[in-house]
Amino acid sequence: MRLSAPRLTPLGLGALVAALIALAPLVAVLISATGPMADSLTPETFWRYARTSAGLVLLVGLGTGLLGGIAAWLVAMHDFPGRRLFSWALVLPMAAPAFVLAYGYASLFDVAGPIRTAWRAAFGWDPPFEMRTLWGAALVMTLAFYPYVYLTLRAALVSQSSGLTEAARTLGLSRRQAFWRVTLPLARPALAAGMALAVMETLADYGATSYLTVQTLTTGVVRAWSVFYSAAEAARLALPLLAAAAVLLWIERANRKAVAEAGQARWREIERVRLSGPAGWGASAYCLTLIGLGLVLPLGWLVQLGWASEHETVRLIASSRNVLILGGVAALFTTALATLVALSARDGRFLPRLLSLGYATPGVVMAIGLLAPAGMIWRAFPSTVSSFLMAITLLVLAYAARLMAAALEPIDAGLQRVGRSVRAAARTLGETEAGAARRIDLPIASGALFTAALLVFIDVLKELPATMILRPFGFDTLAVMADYYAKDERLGEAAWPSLMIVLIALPAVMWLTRRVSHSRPGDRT
Amino acid sequence: MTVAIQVTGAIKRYGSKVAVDGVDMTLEAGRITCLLGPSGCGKSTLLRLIAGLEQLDGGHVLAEGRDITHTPPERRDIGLVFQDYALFPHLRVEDNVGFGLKAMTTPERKARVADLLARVQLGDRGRSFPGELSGGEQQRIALIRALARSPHTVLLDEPFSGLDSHLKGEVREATLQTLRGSGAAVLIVTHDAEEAMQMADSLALMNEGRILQRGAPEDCYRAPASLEAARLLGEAEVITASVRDGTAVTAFGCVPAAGLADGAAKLMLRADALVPGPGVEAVVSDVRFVGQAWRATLTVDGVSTPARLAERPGDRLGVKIDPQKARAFA
Repeated sequence: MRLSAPRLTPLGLGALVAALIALAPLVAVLISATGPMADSLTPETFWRYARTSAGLVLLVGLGTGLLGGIAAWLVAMHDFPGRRLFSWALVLPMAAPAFVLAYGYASLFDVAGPIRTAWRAAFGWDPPFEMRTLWGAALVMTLAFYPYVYLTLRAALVSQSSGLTEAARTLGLSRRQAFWRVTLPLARPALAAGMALAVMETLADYGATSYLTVQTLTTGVVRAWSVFYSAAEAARLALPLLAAAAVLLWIERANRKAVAEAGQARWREIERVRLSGPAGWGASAYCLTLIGLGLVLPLGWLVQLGWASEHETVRLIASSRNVLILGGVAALFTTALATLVALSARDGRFLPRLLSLGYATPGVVMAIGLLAPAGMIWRAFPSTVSSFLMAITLLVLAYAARLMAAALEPIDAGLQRVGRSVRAAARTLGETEAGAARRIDLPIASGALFTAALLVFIDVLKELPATMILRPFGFDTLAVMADYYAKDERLGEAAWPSLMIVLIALPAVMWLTRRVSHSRPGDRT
Repeated sequence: MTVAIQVTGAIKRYGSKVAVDGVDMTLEAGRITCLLGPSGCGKSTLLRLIAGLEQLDGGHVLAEGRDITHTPPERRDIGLVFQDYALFPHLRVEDNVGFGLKAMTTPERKARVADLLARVQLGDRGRSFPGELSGGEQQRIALIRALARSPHTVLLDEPFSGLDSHLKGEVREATLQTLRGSGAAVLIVTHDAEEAMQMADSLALMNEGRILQRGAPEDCYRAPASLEAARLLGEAEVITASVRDGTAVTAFGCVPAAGLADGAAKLMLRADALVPGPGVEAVVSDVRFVGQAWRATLTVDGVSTPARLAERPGDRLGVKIDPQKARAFA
């Protein structure tokens, strides 16, 4: 939306609607927060929640930076056995929601779980590590979210031109010195951006933290709403989350700009250092361990648990169907809105930024934000709106508000392939703005549209807190079903929907990873 | 002659920068106008304003007498050939050419496309994608795509800049032929003086958003309206002169300077304005071979200027000014 545009075109109108959808919940949270105080939230509780959230952010930020950073450095700059396989397999933990990892690890480290039992048998004393603590939650989320750092940093390292390091070498630096003084400083913005993304996910998480009984601001928001039915209190707890989202977004954007600038030198593939012997096997072992801990071990254990327990086929099928339909509708709707924004805001910066704030905002905050406007509509037309449709609509709007920015990114990139003059050519050949979009932009960017829809779909598949708050009564998704059984300590039954999520998401994540890596120079691994 | 496009007082600003500053321009049916100027002088902006891809901040554009200042580009009936050709990469050549022919039935459109392709000797490339064509072929497709709707005006933005130099001459000739055959009013934007003079029926010289001069190529070259205009059309050196009774007197000799007041002036010399002959004796330095000629610095009475000479000069050379290639300015 070019704000100075003299007339409102159909595309501009669509963008305006998109902006409203993204903005309404954020404004509503601010307004709700001024509502009447309830007694349930004491300042002590608030600070306890805030401290836990901050601690988690710190630990997960450092953890993902370290684990994901090392993985990216190994894969992008070295050659070792299995590198090509690891290069994309390291992303796979993205297919599993953090709460699925939490179920697996909590059960593995349970008093009666296999690890403690084996440890006691071997050493005769109980291992000191407890999963249901801040440290446990941090470990689970580090393993779940390290791929964000891995992906951004690997991309930055791979797209760095070897010319820069070569220049450093000719200026008298050793390979090691060149890494510390050229390669790493150039990649630092990417590291920061990746960590910002991982921290955003950490703040948004509800499923893993609540299962591990770690009380954060996010679990507090859900609790304030579902236990005390206080939207005002939930909104007040959401405010620091919103502020953190804005700060993280700023960090991520500022660093992304630096990433883009760093890649401007003429590109030539960097020369990978060959790791042979123990060093090579060490690198392979590191990657293997990361994938093992992030995916294979917790999922394998859940398979074992699920196998041993009953499963409710009917409910499983119904939940799968629900989430597939919901995800499909949300993906179409969000992609359509993001496309309108991308087409009409091509030269603008304001609207994409606004949408990005939605992306950084935890889903639960979006849900709370939508409750107030929904209540207003509800009171205005009480008899005409079916409660089921209303709830589903709200849910889709919440997903759209949160995920529009994620969809916007690939679409924007896709549309950038359409040169300005190509679009102008269509206009001089008699097409209107909308006609040129239909005949030129959309066909050229069709792959990008599919990518965007898939990204939204995966996120909806894994989403828990917003779905929990806004879903119609009795409408389960796989994530809600898993959460329900897990809270009941029926992990065997929780395992089935959990594994189902991973099973659906895994091929999509694999496809996306390959697609993304093939669109970058030098990243054809 | 029918006026196809008439631009009056066109103004376009980008922030505080004035890209087009009160330009008037007329394009006539069947005539080729070349708009020549350095990069960033506003010539491409002017072209985009005429096409409707940019909005004017002041002034008007008339097309065949109709005010189209606020008409969107798709309703202007103006063809535009882009510098990068802007072929649609996802459409076959035939669909590119037929893109603007929505109003036709399919058989009509096919016939029209086939006819256009045949006209530029690309009848067999209809099923190809733009990426499979050479640069010269792409240029021809872009040209016939713009002509397909038989627009009253065709605008070309640096149409030959993307071509290898050995291709340029050939493509330029073919383009000229096609354009003349269309009968449309044509505006070609270029920064290449030789190209502009070769193609234009009428030349417009532009710098810093303003039109400096309009006229036939030869008139512009021989009688530039200003030093700036002279420099746009080729190498131009300047030496000091003083005007007395309609004659400019310099260290290298005298040239007519009708209409100039007595006093200090400047004399613009084309590179080949100094020719060997009975005039003044110049000291020769910095002699260098530059392909088809020799370049040297000639000095007379402390006044130096570079010159282009057909033969290798000695240490001293008798020279005079060819008045056809020199012009005095106040």
